[in-house]
Order: sequence, then structure tokens, then C-alpha cells
Amino acid sequence: MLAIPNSQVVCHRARYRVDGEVGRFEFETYDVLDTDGRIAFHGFNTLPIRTGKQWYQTAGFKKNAILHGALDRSYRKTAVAFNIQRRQVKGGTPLSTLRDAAESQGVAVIAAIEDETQRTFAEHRFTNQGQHIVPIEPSSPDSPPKKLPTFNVVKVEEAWQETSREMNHRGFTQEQIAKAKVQANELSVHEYESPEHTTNIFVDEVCIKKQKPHRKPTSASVVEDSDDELKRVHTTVARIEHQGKGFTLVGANLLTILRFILAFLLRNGLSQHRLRFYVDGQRTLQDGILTFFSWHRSVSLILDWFHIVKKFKELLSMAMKGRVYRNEQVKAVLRLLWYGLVDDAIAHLRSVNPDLIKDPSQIEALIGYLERNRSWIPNYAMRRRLKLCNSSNPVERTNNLVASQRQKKNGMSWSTYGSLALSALACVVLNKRTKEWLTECQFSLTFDTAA
Amino acid sequence: MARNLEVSIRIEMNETDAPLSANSEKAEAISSGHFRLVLDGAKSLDIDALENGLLNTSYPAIRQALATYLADEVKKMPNQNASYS
Repeated sequence: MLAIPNSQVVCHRARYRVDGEVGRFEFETYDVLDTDGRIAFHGFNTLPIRTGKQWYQTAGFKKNAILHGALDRSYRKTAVAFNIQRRQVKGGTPLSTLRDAAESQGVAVIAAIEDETQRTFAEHRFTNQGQHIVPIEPSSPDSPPKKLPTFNVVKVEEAWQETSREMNHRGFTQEQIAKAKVQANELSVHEYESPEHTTNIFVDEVCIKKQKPHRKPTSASVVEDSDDELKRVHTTVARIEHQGKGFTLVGANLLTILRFILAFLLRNGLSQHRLRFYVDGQRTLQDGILTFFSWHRSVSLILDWFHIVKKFKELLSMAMKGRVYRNEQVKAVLRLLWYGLVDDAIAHLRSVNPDLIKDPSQIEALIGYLERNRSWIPNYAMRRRLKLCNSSNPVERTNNLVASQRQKKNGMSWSTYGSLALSALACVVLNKRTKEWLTECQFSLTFDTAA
Repeated sequence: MARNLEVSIRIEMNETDAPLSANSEKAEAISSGHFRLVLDGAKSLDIDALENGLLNTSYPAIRQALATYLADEVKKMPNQNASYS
């Protein structure tokens, strides 16, 4: 019995198409026409909206073909394997459809993180750009801001005794040991943080080879190719760690990722913690972080030890005549920097025998690098003794999981959206948000204990 | 000469007054080769839930059918071999 008198049920002209874990199939839907022949009810409206010849992709499809398929291997291999598995080699999902589906899902993940970020900012009275609407801590001369807890003083002293003994044993002068102690205890940026009240944040950029706009070279584009080779797609990756829990975020640029990080900190009640950013020497990255978190009472950077080693090895290779002299200098300078003795390291570089130097400009570059980063070079030896973090290894590992292992392969090149989309989807899996994403299309910014 | 083997399957989806299955991810065995899962009626047009429910019901049935068939076939072998000796 139809609700509309004298109405007529007619078959809809287009069939509803579903691409699922069971395979591809289509079915008829029905509309209701009123007495004037107008459609009074669209059968399509009872089903998820799709347009034109679009296939509705089920949660099973997204899970198997995208999150556990295209994220791990090429679209071509995934499409073939998925269609074989569904017993639908002919008439199965084409490669281009799978790629488009993955890209649109990835873009949707970024949009969901953005929505969650904006919601969090609104709840905590921040602007969409991550700026305070009202200051968190109104300054008052009677109540100076409370100092954040630091590492247990007794343990720091014990670590220092061991470190000084080690320095003595390694032939450091008493003056250098005294300087290392000052470095270790007095500069605020070198305070040893209490792990319970500190959130470690690792930020880095992944560069992926960019897809050329035209596959076949034409006479006009041949000249441009040399420039194109230098072009890369940049994806910024962040890893947030606190008390053994971790979370991974990706964004198209630094500002986006810093906004996501702030939203995550606010959502998890970590914004009042000490924030330690572990970075490489990239100036734009350092400046961006410090500017964005300029309102925060305890944000500091730590220059990644691994990056320092790499930098000195590279530049001293170009600076010195031969690898024997290069290795001697690398060893000598890193020995000083391991204890945070930046001035001594600069003095050592200045005192290198000019006869052994091939390119003095590289030595000057290293001195400039140390001057620029001196505020972010702690006493690494002390930090290691206290089992505090010294390097940005977690984000390097995350970079590999999120982007490199899938996207940096021989002959592969990516569009900006394609690269970011796959990285965003990898975040869903890494943060164990698969079920939440597939059922609710949401991406909550909270720690998962197992992530 | 070995006889051919017919494989047939029938899947039914009917309205029921039975209560929802306790575990929507695991079908309950009713009898040998017969499994069922009671899904939420409010999701009668939820393609994702329907597909998931069908797969969760059919895979145990396929596994059990294959296991039972193979066990029966293997069981026949000693009898056949015994008759030859």
C-alpha cells in the first residue's frame, strides 16, 4: 500500500553500483511517481549518496583494498590481487578507480583531522590559526608562573659525577669539565626534564620525487626537465610521544602540522607540559616551531645528535684534504659536542692547520651552524645517562613507515595529493584508527595505548 | 570412475523476531553446515553492515563444509583400501 494515492512505482533508470569486499555488483532501485508523473520519492535516497557512474565503496573494500592493500604495495599489484581474491578478475575494480579511491580517502582523512583541530581550538578558545583568543596565564607580579618539574636532582647529580669522571678519563681539562657542568645545570634550555611532565615532539619533512606534468617529453618540455628533476613533494611528519605512548600526524606543510600538534596537545591535556621538539638544523623548521609556540611557557628545541654527526661528516669531507684528516677532525669535534662544549668545538675548528684544509668555506659553514644552533645543543652525555631522548630517531622511523617505504622506490613519482593522501592513510593504520575511520569517518586526536 | 561433485549454496536473508546475535562478528552454528547471524533491523539498508554480516556468516560455513567434506573423504579411504587388500 503506497502512502501517495494513485501513485506508481517505477524502476529507476540507473542501477545502484556497489564495489565491496564481496566484489562488484549492481541492483535496481525504485522511485514513486505521483499522479502527475513527477517523482515523489527517490529510492536512491535510502542508500548512501553517490553521483553519476560512481560505485559505492563499502567499508570492507576500503579496509582490504586501501588500508591493507594499496598502502603496502603498488596500485597495480593491489588491484590485481584484490580482484583475484574476490573471484572477479574480469569486471573487477580497475587500477585507476583504486588509485582515485585511495586519494579521496586520504584527502578525507586530512579533512577529518582538520575538523577535529578546529573543534578543539574552538573548545579551548584558540583561533583557527592556533593563536590564543585570551592569554592562558595572565601575568601577575604576586604569582610568578609555576616552574615545571625537572628531573630528580639527586639522580642528576649522580649522573654528573659519572659524566665528570668519564670526561676526566677521556682527557678533558678541568676547565672543560667545569664548562660542561655549567652547560649541564644552569642554562634553562638544558634543564633535565621530568619525563612525566614532558611531551617529546619530533618533526621532520619527507621529500618524495614529484610526478612530471607530462609523461612524454615534447620539444618544449625537454628544457624544463632538468629543473623538474629537482622538484619534490614535501610532506611534514610529526611524532608525539609521552610516557611510552605515541601518535603520528602528517600535514602538507609546517603550519598545518603545528596546528595539528597543538590540537592534539590540547585534546590530551598536554599543553601545559614542557614541550621538547627534536629537530634537525633546518632553520625554517626551528623558526616556525618557536614562533608558533611563542606563547608557551616551556617550549625548547634539541638538535638531533644523529643530525650533528651527519652534518660534520659531510662538511668536513668537503673541507679537509683526505679522509684521514677528515676523520681526525670529526672525532675531535664530536667528542667536544657530545658534552655540549660548543665554544671549544668552535675554537677547535678555528685552530685546524690551514695546510690540511681544502675548502675553508666549509669550516666557516660549520662554525656558523654551531653559532646558530648553540642554544639547542645540550650535554648529550648527561641526557643519555639520564635516559632522556637525544635524537629524532622516532620520526625517522615514522617517516619510513608513513611515506618512504611505499613511496620512495625506483621509478616512482607522486602528485602532491597522491603522496599526502597515502601518508594520511598510513596514519590511520599506524594510530590504530582503522575501525573508527571506516565506521564513523572520524579521526580522534587521542593517544591509543597500543599505538 | 570417480563421480562428479556438486557444490551448492543458498543464502537467505529474512526478517526475524529473534534477538540480535551476541557477537556480530561471529556467526553461530545451528546445525552442521548451517550458520546464522542476526543483524540489527535498523541497518536493513546499511550496505557495509550487510556485506560484513554475509561474509561473517558465509566464511565459517565454507570452512566447515570443506573440513567436513575432507574428513569424510579421508575416512572413506581406509575402508576402500581395506576392501582392496
